[in-house]
Amino acid sequence: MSKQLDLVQGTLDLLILKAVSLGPLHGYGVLLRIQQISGKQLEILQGSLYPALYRLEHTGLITSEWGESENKRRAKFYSLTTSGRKQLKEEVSKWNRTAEMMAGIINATPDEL
Amino acid sequence: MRLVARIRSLWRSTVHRNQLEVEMDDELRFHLDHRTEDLIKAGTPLGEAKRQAKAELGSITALHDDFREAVGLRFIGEFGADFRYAASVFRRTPTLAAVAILTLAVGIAATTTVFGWIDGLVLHPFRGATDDGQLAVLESVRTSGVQDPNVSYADCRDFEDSLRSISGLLLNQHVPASVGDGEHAYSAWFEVVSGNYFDALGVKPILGRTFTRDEYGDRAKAFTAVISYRLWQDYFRGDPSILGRTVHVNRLQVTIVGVAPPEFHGRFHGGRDGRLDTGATDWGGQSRRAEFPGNRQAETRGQPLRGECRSDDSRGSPRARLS
Repeated sequence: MSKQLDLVQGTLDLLILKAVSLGPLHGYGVLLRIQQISGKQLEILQGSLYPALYRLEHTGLITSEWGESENKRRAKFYSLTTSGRKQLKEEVSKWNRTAEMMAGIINATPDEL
Repeated sequence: MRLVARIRSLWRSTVHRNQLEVEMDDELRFHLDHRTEDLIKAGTPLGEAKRQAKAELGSITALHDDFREAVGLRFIGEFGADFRYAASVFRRTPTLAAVAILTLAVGIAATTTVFGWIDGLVLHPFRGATDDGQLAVLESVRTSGVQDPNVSYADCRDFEDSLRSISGLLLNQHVPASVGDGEHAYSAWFEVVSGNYFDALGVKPILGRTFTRDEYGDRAKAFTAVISYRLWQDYFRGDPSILGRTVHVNRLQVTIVGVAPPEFHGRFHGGRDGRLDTGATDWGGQSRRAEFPGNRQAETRGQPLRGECRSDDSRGSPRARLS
């Protein structure tokens, strides 16, 4: 984990919601899932992960349950709630609009003006 | 929905705080073990892998603080610590504590009283009336330029006939009164009002009625009253058959025709016992028989009565000055 990119503020919550939307995950699993989806291009600070998980659980966007991990150890698994699914949909839509707008701006050429 | 989730989470965190802290330790330990194993698989020596895993995760104490902040426990903890500190200071210096508490109590009481009076006198003089923000005080200005807040009944009738920008003009005056006779007499404040008082304020009685056209002005034959909810409860013990009963008010026979709603207290008045009881008499031909101050000279201009009018013009001045 050497290559770390700075995340835009608020993006971590979106990434966590997306990761757990694909299936219940423990905290470390969320980290690995984000790395896997990003093709190991994106690493998040582990110290930021857990506060974000607690915050999302507190606001009812995700829920947790203790279970057994793949290596037969007791672990806390997070999954998306109905409210979290709705929030994820809204956040994704907002993110896509922002990305589209930013792409339009930074790719603008003098001919287009 | 979010709010419910937050409250539920805060409640759970407060009640099961110790258990949640232990679970958090278990979760972080699981993370460290998993990360250490992955680093070892990648070729990192055991000691170095443990050190790196801990460094990447950061301070466990800081994570516990973040957890408390995320679920709202930090505020509760800090509030509790502040409260305990204040209590210990108070125990050590009781005189200072007594002075501080007394100062706060006097300050709060004085402020509350002043705001209560301002609210009652200026902002909502007729609490319980419909849209009392549209009410304006009518006052006379003499040709000499001297303001006179009092309006006579005769002047009122002239104003009512000539003013087109108001939807109603009412008169009221407070009088101390003795309700009932002998040992059962009850001291109260009555408000002597013009017959259109309740209609102009948009107040509907909870029992009985307000004054009919035959009960005031030139057609009046007897004195009638609408009593306050409090007087009804305190003196008449909430008697549902109160309507039509005749009682003596300042030795004058008055027939009770209605009971005002509990939220309506008439014009604000810090009267004796803090009570304000609303009543009414006629203002017309029978006025010379009345013993309420003000009624005897109802036909006299300059009689000290206070006039209030309901303005139709919402942009108008809250105080209508007439000369």
